[in-house]
Amino acid sequence: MSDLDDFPDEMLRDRFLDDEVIDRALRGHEPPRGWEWFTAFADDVRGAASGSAPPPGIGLAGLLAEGFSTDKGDLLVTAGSNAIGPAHGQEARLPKWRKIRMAINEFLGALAAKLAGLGFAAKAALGLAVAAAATSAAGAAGVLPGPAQNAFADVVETVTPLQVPDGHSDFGTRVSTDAKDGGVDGQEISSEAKQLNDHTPGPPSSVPVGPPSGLAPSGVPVGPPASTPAGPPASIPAGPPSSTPAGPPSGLPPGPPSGVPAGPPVAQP
Amino acid sequence: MSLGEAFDGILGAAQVGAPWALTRLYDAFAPPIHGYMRLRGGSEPDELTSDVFVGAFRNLESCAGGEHQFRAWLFTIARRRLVDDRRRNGRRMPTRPLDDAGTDVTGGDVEAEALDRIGDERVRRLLATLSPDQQDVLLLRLVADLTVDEIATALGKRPGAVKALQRRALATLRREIGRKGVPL
Repeated sequence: MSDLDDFPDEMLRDRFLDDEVIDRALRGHEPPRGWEWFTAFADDVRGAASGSAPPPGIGLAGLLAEGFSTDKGDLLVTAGSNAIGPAHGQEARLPKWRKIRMAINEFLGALAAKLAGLGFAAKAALGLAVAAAATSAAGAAGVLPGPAQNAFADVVETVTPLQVPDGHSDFGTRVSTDAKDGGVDGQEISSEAKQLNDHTPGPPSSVPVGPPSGLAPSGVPVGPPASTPAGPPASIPAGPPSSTPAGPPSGLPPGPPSGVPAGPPVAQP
Repeated sequence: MSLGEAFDGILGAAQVGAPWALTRLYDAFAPPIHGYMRLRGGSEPDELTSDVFVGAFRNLESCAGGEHQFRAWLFTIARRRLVDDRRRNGRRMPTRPLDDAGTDVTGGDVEAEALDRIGDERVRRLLATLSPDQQDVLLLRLVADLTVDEIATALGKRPGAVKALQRRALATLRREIGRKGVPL
């Protein structure tokens, strides 16, 4: 009679299914009564899994014989060397486009913070300056609506030696486009050009036949025309049209925003 | 074979590619890995064991912890290799009923006789009466000495499911051994 027969079925099942008892048996501790069969089985399983190591395969044998070197490019070593930190001079760097984007983001963030801290008067002055600068830039580029562009050109050419495109500056573009489409009417263009020439004191800036008066071939002013008045009107900035104001409006610090780093972004390791 | 206190130094040297350290790790842990492969019916236990160590050595830098954690990690790799092996070969370990193993037990205390000698082949036949998951749980407990939680991680199951698997596995084994006896 075996030990298992000593227990009624229910008692045996309850004890047998006890996780703690199972755990003790599986760990190789002294088995409870009725578990001798399992001890023999476990011993055989452990015996089958012990002994000497099998002969390694070709790839593993090479690895065991030579290890792996620390040369660059060896996958094992590259990963292993990174585990204790990159070598000096091999720090990971951000791609250039990410550096630029980070710098722009930092600048815009700092600018927004500065603007948020300005008073109402400073904000109003800044708004006017930005509007004037934007108008100047648009006027200089000749992209204002026709009447506005004409007015802008009149004022600028009155108070400065510069010449800017007027409201008819799309004439040349239109002629060029028509020519490409094959729909050029020479008579119509001729009359329109004549009409424009009669209306405009100087040569049309968009169809130049030579450097405008007062401008070197490169477009750089060489001197004020004789008809330039002594001083500018109060409503026009004294300097040449520019996309940026000549100086910061009151309330803005003279230097760059504090959040903008002086040098390039530092590479993160 | 346990490396004991020397394990940390050996692992550190192995992580930078020292051949002697890699060899020590292989000598210490290859036998149980090989036994697991053999008892689970791997098609080529030697090759599978080598594959396990090549894979492990490739990823040594990701290994942290002590010897027990290293052992658990190795057996996790081993089980994955075994699953791959089974998929490749598209077959399962052949199952034979205990009756076919040949019985020369003529009476007496069947269990006592079973306690004396259960050879490798007979262990495999007993394991073959279990489901693959039950085999995994028993072998990972007995051969790899993993805990229920570690096996749950290796198998992707909950600890409760692992306990249920080992309960059913032991119940089946006890029934098989007690009812049929283990042929000697």
